[in-house]
Amino acid sequence: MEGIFDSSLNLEETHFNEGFDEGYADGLSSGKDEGRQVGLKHGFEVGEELGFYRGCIDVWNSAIRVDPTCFSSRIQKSIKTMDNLVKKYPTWDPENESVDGVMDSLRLKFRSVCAGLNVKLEYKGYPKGSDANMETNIKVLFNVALGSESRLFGVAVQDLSENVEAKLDSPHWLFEVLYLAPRTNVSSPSPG
Amino acid sequence: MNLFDGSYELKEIQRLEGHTDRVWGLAWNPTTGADGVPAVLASCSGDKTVRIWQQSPLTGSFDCKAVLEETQTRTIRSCAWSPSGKLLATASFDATTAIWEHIGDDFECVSTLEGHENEVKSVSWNASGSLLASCGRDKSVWIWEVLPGNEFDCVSVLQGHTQDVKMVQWHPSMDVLFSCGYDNTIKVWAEDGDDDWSCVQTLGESNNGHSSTVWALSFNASGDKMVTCSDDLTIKIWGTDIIAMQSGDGNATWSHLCTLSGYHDRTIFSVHWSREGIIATGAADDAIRLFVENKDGLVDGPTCKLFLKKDKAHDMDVNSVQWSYSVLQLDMVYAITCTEYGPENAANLFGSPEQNNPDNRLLASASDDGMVKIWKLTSLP
Repeated sequence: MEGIFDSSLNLEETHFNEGFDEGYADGLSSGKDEGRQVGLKHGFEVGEELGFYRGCIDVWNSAIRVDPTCFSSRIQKSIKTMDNLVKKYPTWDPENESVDGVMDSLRLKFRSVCAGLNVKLEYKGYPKGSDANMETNIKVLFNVALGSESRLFGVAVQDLSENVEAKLDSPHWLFEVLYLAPRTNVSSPSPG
Repeated sequence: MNLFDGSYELKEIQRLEGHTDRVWGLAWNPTTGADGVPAVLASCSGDKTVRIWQQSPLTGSFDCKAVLEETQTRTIRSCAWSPSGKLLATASFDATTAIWEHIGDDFECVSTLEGHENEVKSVSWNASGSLLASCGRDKSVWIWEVLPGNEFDCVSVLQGHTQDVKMVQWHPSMDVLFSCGYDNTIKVWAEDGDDDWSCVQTLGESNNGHSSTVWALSFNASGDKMVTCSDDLTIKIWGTDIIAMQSGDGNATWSHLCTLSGYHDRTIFSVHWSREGIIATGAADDAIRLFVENKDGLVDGPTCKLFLKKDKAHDMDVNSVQWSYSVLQLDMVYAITCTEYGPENAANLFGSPEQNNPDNRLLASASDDGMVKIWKLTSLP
């Protein structure tokens, strides 16, 4: 008796299951695609940064071969350390937990070598700290918020951004500046 | 008579006017103020200049002897004299640290240290003057070696803080570096041989540390205690086993001794421990407070008492408070006590203000109101 109505009674569930399976299959393939794209992009970025350091190290090493006294022993040691770090980087093992540590050490050593050589070299794709981005955004927002007034208060706007980088760097203060300052007295931005 | 049972006042000796923007930092030249050498104070400001103030031996008043300008293009956030008193390092928001040398009657910029990505917030010389540390908004701490001919060599770039680093300070006798900042922590950095510096301890909220930005830190005379001040409205005192630390014991860590809360209701920007044991703070409520350590509280560990509060010390935030250096005699007293009783007792005796005459001790303060003030701690008649 129950058998005749089974298919109608379970109609909703059947459709649900079909839909789920279809969605799952689609999601799986698009997810894989997306993952591949992200992986490619990230892999490219890592490769590019490693290559940048590799190039610098090779040039420096060539210079040292031509004139072993051209850099101080401290700098030569740092270059050597960088060389080893690039070699050590687990290029084919992205899930190796040491990747971030190695890259951080490389970036620090690179900065120290550049400071020692008194040169300004910068890897273009070097990720700026979140602060730096925030700072840029704030400056953009300042100008948007102040609109045409920003020209009138040119000096004041400059003062404001100086303060952002000074002691008033807590989020609630940013809120005050971004949303309240343009409406209040722009020339006296310090909340004390 | 116990000095701190009586009534005391912080007497304003002089206002030093000249800066046209907020004054951020102060530094007394450590080789001045004694043996007939007139005291010299440097102040740095948002007006992109450093002013050098010298005390007149005749009148005792301070005059601006030099203005250091047109080298750094943005706010000068901090300044520090080398132990020899010959070099002045200045940290600027323009991402550079400048080194000035006192040549004849003039100050000349002899070196510019570049490396920070953006704002440099603080500089500090080690005890021997052979190393210079800097820190900044890029979350990094840099250590430079001072070479002959005003050359500076980058020894190490240290990353560990997760936010803006507000201050670096070397230990007063050992080559151990301390940094603090916007990530609410204090970090201790030490060298494990051959230029390899690393963070050996982090004092954070889980170690009874601060719950908001740590703005400044300072050491007591013997270097076994450190005081830190914060946006969390407290100051904290930390201690270590100095003997173990001197012997290079890696286990010589710093631990929390006490927290002074309830005294401040606005951010505390500056703290400085005088050699006699008086802790001064400068805060966003425009006041200067003086604390003294109670040596009797041995059972419950050290405690500190507020013994003086100077309201309206400035018209705006007090950014820096700095005690002037002691007269030479104090160092001698310390050295003698050290030989006779050992360093621990020396620390105790030396910390007792009755032994030393703090009358010669001046306090300088700097504020957002653009003013530098000179104060003297005196007893009320």
